[in-house]
Amino acid sequence: MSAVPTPAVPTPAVPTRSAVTTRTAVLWVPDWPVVAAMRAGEVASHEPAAVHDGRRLLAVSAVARAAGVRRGMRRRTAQGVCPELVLLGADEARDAVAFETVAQAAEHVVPGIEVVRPGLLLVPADGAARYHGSTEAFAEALTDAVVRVGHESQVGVADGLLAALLAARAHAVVPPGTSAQFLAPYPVAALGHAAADERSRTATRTLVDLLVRLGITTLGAFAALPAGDVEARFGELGAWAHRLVRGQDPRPPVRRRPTPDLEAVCELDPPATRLDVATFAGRRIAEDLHAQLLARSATCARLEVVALTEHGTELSRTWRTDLGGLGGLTAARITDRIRWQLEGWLDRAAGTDQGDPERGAVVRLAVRAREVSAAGAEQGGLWGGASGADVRAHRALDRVQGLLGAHAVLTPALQGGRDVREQVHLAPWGTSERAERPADRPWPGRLPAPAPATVLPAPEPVTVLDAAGRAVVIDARWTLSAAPAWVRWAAREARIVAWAGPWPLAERWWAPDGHAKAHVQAVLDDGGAVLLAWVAGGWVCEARYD
Amino acid sequence: MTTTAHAREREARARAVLARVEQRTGARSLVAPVGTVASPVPEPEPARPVLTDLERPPLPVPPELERLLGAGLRRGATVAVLGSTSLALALLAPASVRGSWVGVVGQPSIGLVAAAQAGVVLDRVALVPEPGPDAPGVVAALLDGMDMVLVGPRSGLTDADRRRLVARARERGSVLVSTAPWPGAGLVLGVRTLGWTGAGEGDGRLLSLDVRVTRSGRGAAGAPLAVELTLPLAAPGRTPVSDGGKTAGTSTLRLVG
Repeated sequence: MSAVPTPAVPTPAVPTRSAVTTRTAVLWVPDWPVVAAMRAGEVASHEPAAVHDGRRLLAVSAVARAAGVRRGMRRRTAQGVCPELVLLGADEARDAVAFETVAQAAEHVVPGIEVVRPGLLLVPADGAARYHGSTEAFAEALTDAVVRVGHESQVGVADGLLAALLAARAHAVVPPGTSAQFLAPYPVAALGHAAADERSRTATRTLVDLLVRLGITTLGAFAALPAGDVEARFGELGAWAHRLVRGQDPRPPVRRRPTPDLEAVCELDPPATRLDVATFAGRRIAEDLHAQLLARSATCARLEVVALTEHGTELSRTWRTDLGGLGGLTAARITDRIRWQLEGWLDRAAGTDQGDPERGAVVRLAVRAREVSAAGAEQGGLWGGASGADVRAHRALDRVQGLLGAHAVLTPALQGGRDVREQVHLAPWGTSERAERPADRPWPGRLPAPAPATVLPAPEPVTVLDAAGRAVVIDARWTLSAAPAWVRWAAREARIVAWAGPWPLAERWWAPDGHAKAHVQAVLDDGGAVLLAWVAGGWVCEARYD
Repeated sequence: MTTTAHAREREARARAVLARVEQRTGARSLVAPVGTVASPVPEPEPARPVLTDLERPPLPVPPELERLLGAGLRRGATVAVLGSTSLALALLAPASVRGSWVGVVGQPSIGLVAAAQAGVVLDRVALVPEPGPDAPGVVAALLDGMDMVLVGPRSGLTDADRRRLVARARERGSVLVSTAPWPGAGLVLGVRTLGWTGAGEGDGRLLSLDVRVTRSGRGAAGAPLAVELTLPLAAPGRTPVSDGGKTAGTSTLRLVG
């Protein structure tokens, strides 16, 4: 298709650059998803590997590509082509997290990068190239930095995004002002490289199909079309693509500024075993962190308190600080959070390990600010944030926590479970603990509604007797030895007038924490009703219906 | 004449706006100083209750209890519910659904699943199971911040504490609900069990409890009155728990094919 005149791009004698063009460097790690997955799955690099999402292959390693495996293949086809292919699951979060090391390595060379997607970085190249002496030296510095964290990468520098992307694939530096000429011979399908996500990829593919059917097969031919006509015929997407192929930028790279972690740390030497010693250190780092926050006029939504014990266990808890009503975050409040948390740990350590008092010794104490944002710019909740009543309640709860400590004020939530106790999750007010088990599962065998309104804090052991005065037991087949007629507590007894059950419940019998019990509901002659449970060969009264 | 009517209308509007602002920001103190309510025209009713009702409407109660409690729980009231935790939970539920916070002090045995089934929104519940010797301070702090505070038997309060807390509740416009005897409570709901339905001789399951609730107390609530109820009451905005299964089972059947 050489009939299409390619050099319709105006080629001035002196290369001038359009005002909308940024000199861009692209750092590309080929086949990133598969590289990250191989790193995570410990697949050796000489084995052919591919990442698939259950439907088709998303990324293919170089070895697998050499064996004929291609992106977009179905799993069965790929295994037919290359039987020893190692298939790895797709996980975008893993890719992004693993790429963070590469991004940080690049940030050592040049501050301010944009991660387009895991595997692809965008860097404004002008200043950095000046700093390193030449564009080539800059590209080399970037590649070296990434090699130091253990990844092969390619760098391309050109005017405009698309040219830089394609230059990265060629590992080349395109001289300023010649991006259009560089792009001209590429087929229009190369536009697909500029699409960042799945949706725009699909849209771009449709556009490329259309262009090819219209006889426009190279980027040069596409660039030669008048911009106004392209926009009129192909719409916004066409205009975007047209700007790209002319070596321009739809937008300059969004530079990520490395945000320094706000953290205050102190080493405790000698290790603190007593609460007051640890709290004293906590006070110091709280003031430090508060000063840092003030200096940046920032606030944080989460506060993470981390303590390292002598034995290397790290104890951490995250506190929400956006619930505190008015008043905001002060050094005293941070100290309170540290103290409450240490209180729990040092008490617990002292309570559980009397023989080993060193266990609870704290050697390192750190407090980190998470979700830091400019003060006064916090986003409220979706439904209007905390209203007046909520703010008042939060303040009251903060006050009660100040009186009694963190663990005395609890917020309940329902969670999955069958037992009356298991279904409730209690967390200290202000911590961001989640319920362990989802409540929206069926949980067959759960006690039927209505639930007992009084759940005894500790089950009371009782004796259940039949009408003849013999003890009622439940055998291995979950049947009662006789109809229960009497319940006897330590101090009183009551006649059973009606009862229901037994409902056996054998939970987690395959695990060491498994247990089996049977529930019986009994209506007593004094009008009350109780929930009895047969646990480990004896009866307990678990709850009262009142 | 029109000028005074105009002035009164403007004043009423200003008051409504002020009340709304105070409610939103949480900067509310319930009763405006009586002296400032200088109305140009002598009002037929005393200013104080009118203010209370306007600024803080009574908390809603379950419809089954309206015979005993009237339109709702008056702000600042103290209610003792003796003999049934379910009834206390049912009393908390309608206000909780409408956005009120509930503090539970000294009641470690509260059945939270039952509370959720009664309609109490657990997101707006805070528990202080063992307040210890600081119980008066804790209850007072919660009365400042929450619309309803349930005080259980595990909060060692002296009679002097109780008097002070009643005064605090009245001042802050919160409702104090006690599940233990509370000398000086304005309203006492005594519950006597009539019988359970649902359980047989090893068959069925507990479904509902018939109770007789007797009202006593001071002032207008002193006139003894009793109603018979079936617990658990229907949670606000839901069908009753007891016959939910049956009706759902029959009504969802339809002819197919």
